[in-house]
Amino acid sequence: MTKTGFPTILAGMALSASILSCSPQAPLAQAAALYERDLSAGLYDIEPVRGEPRPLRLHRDGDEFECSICHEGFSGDLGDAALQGEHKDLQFNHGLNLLCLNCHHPTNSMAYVYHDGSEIPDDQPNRLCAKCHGPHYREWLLDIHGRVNERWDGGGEPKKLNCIQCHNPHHPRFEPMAPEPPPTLTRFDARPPGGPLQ
Amino acid sequence: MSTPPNIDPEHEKNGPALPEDAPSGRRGFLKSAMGTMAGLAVTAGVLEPLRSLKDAPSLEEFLQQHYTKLTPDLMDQVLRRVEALMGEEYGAKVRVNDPKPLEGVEFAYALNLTRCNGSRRCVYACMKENNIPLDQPEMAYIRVLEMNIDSLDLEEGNVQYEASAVPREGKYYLPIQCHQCRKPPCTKVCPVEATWTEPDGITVIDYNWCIGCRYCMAACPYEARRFNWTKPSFAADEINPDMGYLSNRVRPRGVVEKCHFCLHRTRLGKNPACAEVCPTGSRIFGNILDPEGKIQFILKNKRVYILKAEAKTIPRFYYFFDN
Repeated sequence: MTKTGFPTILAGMALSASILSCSPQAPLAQAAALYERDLSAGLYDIEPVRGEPRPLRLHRDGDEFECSICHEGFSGDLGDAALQGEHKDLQFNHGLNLLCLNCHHPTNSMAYVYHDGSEIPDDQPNRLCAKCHGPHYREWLLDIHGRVNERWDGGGEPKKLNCIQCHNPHHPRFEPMAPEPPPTLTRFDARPPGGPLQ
Repeated sequence: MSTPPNIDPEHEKNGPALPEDAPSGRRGFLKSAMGTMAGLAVTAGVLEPLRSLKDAPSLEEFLQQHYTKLTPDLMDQVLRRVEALMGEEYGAKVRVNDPKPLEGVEFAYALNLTRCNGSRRCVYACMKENNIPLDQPEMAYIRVLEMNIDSLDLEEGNVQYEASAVPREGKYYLPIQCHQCRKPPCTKVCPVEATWTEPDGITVIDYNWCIGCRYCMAACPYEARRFNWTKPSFAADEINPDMGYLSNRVRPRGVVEKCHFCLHRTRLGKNPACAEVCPTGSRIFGNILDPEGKIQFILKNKRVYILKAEAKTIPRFYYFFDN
């Protein structure tokens, strides 16, 4: 082969490359038939474990009852007697906080109570928890405690969760949950002894 | 033997012809034509087995340059080609993007070991987000180790734990994924520079450049990398159509992959999938360069633990405990 032959061979390779590359392209024709996945529902479940925040109500047999139906004339602390009757199914395990009126307002049964006896509306339960749980409240404000589904750069709508969307206020320890299944063994472990790789 | 009459004695004396002396006319033309034909034949012959091979890369893919050498125009062609390929192979309409690192941002991760309850929600969210087939959980980028409460010995950690409810008594849970090290051993050992660290701190892989030698897997002290033994199989409705070129596009068989902090999400300001889904809020993601940010607050105020600090990889992934 002479020196002049080599560049021409390269040219030939390039030519054949372009011929080959033109052959199997036809994806645009079928583009309309492709499946387009709707992502509006999200790929995974980001629902907080206790769901959306709910107003202060008694939930019984799927119905909701306003507290004032029974508590109209009540005042003062009933002590252990309060955990009888309608509330006898209540799972109550909140450490040293054993009195209903530490949190619930003594006269307005539809509100919580602050240190000075003022009312905390039932849509702001975080202020109630902050009465005792200062460090956690501070970290919650900084997005360090609790799940956050906001953007890391601070853009978009703030979506802070309330304390009671993850914690049951009467039983505040985070509930154990069923784990997802473990990973299977690798294909090396799964193959029969001496058998082929799959 | 006498000299053939058609060879110019002058030419012989002067040695090989320079390009400007290249023979012209009919003789020169025939020479080049023969050369071209030979080239065609050789190339076609060499490439013929490739054409008949199933799942062979297309020629454009085969000749594609390294990611860092792709001009914006070429990159666009590549992205469109990957989209077309997804349509062809899986029947799914996808969008492949290539978001660039953000200015003044270095990503870091903090994981609260006091809160993590081992529910493995992050593992499966990651698989859905990053197009890992759900029937291959061993490919998941996140491994959750169940550890004894008084120990940090990884050898005692159990990945295969099964329970009706977690956390279990006397255990804590240690999820491990790519630590996006500042001194990554994996990128040093790569013989073809298919993996490197981006300016925002994410170590990425050019899946088209990886030769699958798995040196990086041997080098990683966190066992964060996975090798794609099989071509992933999906139904069209299982694919996440929001794809990033360096992140969650469906990887071909025979390349290495790993966690990339969901860069197709995080470079747009969103949280990675694992942080988004964690039911306990143990996973905290942010910009470590932000002095008011969450990550710096944790590093300054919490008890922070670095996994295998003795490996001197200086990870961007921190574990911490609530005080």
